[in-house]
Amino acid sequence: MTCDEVNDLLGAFSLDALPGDEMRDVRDHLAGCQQHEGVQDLLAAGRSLAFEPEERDPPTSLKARIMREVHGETSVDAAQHARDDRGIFSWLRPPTFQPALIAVLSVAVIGLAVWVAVLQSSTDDAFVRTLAGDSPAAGKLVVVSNENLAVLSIEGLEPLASDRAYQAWTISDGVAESAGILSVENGKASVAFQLDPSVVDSVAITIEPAGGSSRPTSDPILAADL
Amino acid sequence: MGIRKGDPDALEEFYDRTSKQAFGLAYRILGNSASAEDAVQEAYLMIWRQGSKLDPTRGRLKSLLMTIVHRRAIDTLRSERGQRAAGAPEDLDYLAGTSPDPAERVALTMDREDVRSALGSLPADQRSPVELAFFNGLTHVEISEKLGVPLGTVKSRLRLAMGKLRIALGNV
Ligand SMILES: [Zn+2]
Repeated sequence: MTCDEVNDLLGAFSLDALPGDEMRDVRDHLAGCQQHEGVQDLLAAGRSLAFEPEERDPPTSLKARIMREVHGETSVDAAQHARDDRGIFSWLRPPTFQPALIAVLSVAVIGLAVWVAVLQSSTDDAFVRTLAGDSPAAGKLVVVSNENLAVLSIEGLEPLASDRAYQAWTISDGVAESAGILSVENGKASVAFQLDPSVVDSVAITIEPAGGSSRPTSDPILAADL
Repeated sequence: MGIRKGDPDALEEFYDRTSKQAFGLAYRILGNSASAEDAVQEAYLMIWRQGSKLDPTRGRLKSLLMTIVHRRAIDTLRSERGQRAAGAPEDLDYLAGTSPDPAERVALTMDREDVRSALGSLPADQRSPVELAFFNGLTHVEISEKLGVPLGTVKSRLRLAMGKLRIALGNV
């Protein structure tokens, strides 16, 4: 799609009034093009329309139904909800996750276009996995399938001796391939790498000799299955 | 504070504050109480289940609620028409944006009269395609068929209209 074609569609785009393939074409174009000013404002104007309709009292039974559901779930460990990362808030959660991603992408060569691609991916072509393991650290992996791109972001990493390093791996059919050595700052680290989700089974972090290993030499401290 | 800690009272308070608008929106789109209730219920439960790290004191949560209700309602409409839903309910990253935005300001400070008057200030031939898109979930092609107006004209009217709305809402 050319810039002109995209501009032509921005009104419909901001109202989600494009067929799916056109919607995606516009997103893809916007992700790689800096020529379109004010698109976020246009989208926000679209969202504002949600406030236009007249208020209306819902039946009291609705509140009762919702609260019954809510109280029924209160006993479930709240952490369970926090771990449910396929949802909207994994994308929206600014305090920890997004700045970390932005930090990665500003240092990674791939740059802003990839970050925009991540942000703009629909759930059709992007997903999030949480890394779990025997470590106080917490990690998230964003995979943008149609780009074969992954961004790994970790917090709470303990400082290592100067002769050790954290290393990320992709594991396909039991074979580990290095996805990079993490450069840790204030316990945080991020790395972006190519990842084909149809091939890779899981992603893991191990502690290796400084400089990294060609194969993991210790058990993962964190891992996530795709 | 509350919702992020899994406090049901906080959700209840949030519900009391926002449910009339949420239900009004769902009803406007779906036109019947049962479907509107379903959309609203799903939206609050989604906030409840996934909102553990959100700060409900900010306008964003309300803005997000309205975005979810809208998306659920439109998906329902489209699937009733036998169309594929535009996106999963959680496909909101793009819609919800990442920075303070006009929708958030709306939730914080604006009366819906401001949105109403911004929309009302559009000429009818621009307002009507916007409403068909936002409240009826029609695509530009469907709008063109429904109004008997060429597709190119629908595109440019939508573009013009949204540009005006952006300015009108940004200046409040
Ligand atoms: Zn362009």
